[in-house]
Amino acid sequence: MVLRLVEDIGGCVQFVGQVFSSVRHQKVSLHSLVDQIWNVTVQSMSTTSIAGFFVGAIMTVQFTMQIQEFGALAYLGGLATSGTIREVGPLLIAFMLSGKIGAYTSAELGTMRVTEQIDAIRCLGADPIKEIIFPRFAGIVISSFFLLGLGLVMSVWGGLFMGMFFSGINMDEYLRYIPRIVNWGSISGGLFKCFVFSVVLASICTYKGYTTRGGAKGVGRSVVQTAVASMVGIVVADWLTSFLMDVATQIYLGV
Amino acid sequence: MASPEIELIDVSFSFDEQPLLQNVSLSLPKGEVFVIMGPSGSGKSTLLKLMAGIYTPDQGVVKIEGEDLQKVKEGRRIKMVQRMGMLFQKNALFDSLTVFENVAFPLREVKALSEKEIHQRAEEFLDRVGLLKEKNLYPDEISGGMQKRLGIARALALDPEIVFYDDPTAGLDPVTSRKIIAMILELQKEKGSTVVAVTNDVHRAQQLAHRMGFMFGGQLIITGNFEQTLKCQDPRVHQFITGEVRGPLSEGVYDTV
Repeated sequence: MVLRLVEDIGGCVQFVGQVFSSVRHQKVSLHSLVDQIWNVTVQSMSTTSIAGFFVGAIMTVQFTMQIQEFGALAYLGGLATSGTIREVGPLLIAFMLSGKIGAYTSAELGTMRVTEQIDAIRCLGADPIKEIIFPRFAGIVISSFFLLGLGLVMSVWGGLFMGMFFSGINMDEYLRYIPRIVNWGSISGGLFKCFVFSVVLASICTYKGYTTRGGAKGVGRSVVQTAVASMVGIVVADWLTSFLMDVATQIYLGV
Repeated sequence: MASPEIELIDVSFSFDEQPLLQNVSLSLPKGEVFVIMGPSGSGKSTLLKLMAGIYTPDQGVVKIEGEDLQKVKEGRRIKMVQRMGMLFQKNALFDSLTVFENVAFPLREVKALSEKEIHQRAEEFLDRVGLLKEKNLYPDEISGGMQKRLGIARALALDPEIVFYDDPTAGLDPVTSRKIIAMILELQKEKGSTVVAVTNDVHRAQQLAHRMGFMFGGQLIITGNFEQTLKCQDPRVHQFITGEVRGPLSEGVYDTV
């Protein structure tokens, strides 16, 4: 099992290297890239909005219980938003994309593989990596930033809604400390995590789809493996990025 | 003497340690129509995919016009592949593209043509195979025979000098099969292309082949014209041609039928 895991990780890393070396010398169709970004963004907008709204609401409820004791409710909006940007937002977007776009991409590529459509592209003298893999890979990574932005806006609304009806503070109070607490460190940390998670997801789903074997059963297996591997991969990447960002902060502050 | 268009020298290939082809050698001159026959699982499609550069042999050499397909640089390999066309056994049509877009795809990706030229050429090919009226439909909205014709139109879109047909009449009725074979021959004569086709249908093979080969157990047992194949004394070839139930090809199968 360990050998299989190492083999899979190695294969995936090699595949991503192949994707980038393939597009380095070839012109990628802007049309298909924009098409993928549009598809991923539009397909995930509703779920990201709903999830973002409720994540903001959850964060507000959790922080209210903690900071009410200290009479610091004025900081509620800032703390809830900062927490969402730095940690929950990127993780949420990555999980949403994993469940929806990751599985979809893996199934789509897997079906193309088992019905020999990928071989057909190669036989026509075109490069399947450039034609179908890179646009999907880049589409997932770029879209995740748009979706992060959307999820965060919705989480502020969700937090504000709960702040007003559960914590008893008004809109001005909720929004007042957001600009002070949400600094560039939180934003860049959130963006970095968002980038890493989306790269992990895009790598796994395109690799699993592209290497599918064994007909309909094989496609099903690839989709399940994509779901499991991407969830685990994102959590591991979260731990790693949190650790690295903490080390970087300590070095920057000279601690 | 000019080098053969396609040459296989002592080619072996295995998949998951299961040998699929063993020491296959074959030489095809330019403009020949060569048909590979043999029972299911004998390695016919694998051999075709090796010639088309989809698979890489474990051992041996595949040469196209004297150049080793595995040893040339990637850019050259792509150029060589662009001179070939292939019809897949299950057509491998792009199911998310329309009939028109399926034929336009290779023209758009490979040839430096304007949209107007792409449109013109794609419609010309669709007209040739009688699918112009269906150009806006998707592959799953047309019949099996039409899908085959679309696969042929796509394979020929780049004017290939070598065309591979993997079971071009599979699943088609006899009349449509005959029409498809006639169309393949007409297009071959027109372009003078080299054709390698795989089929299990002896009658269609007779209609199509200049020369044919018989495969069994990953090996090319015989090559020759139809008459030579018909006279072949090998009991496996004889049973395949006559379609008898009992014989060496049915060993282990006959009892369970």
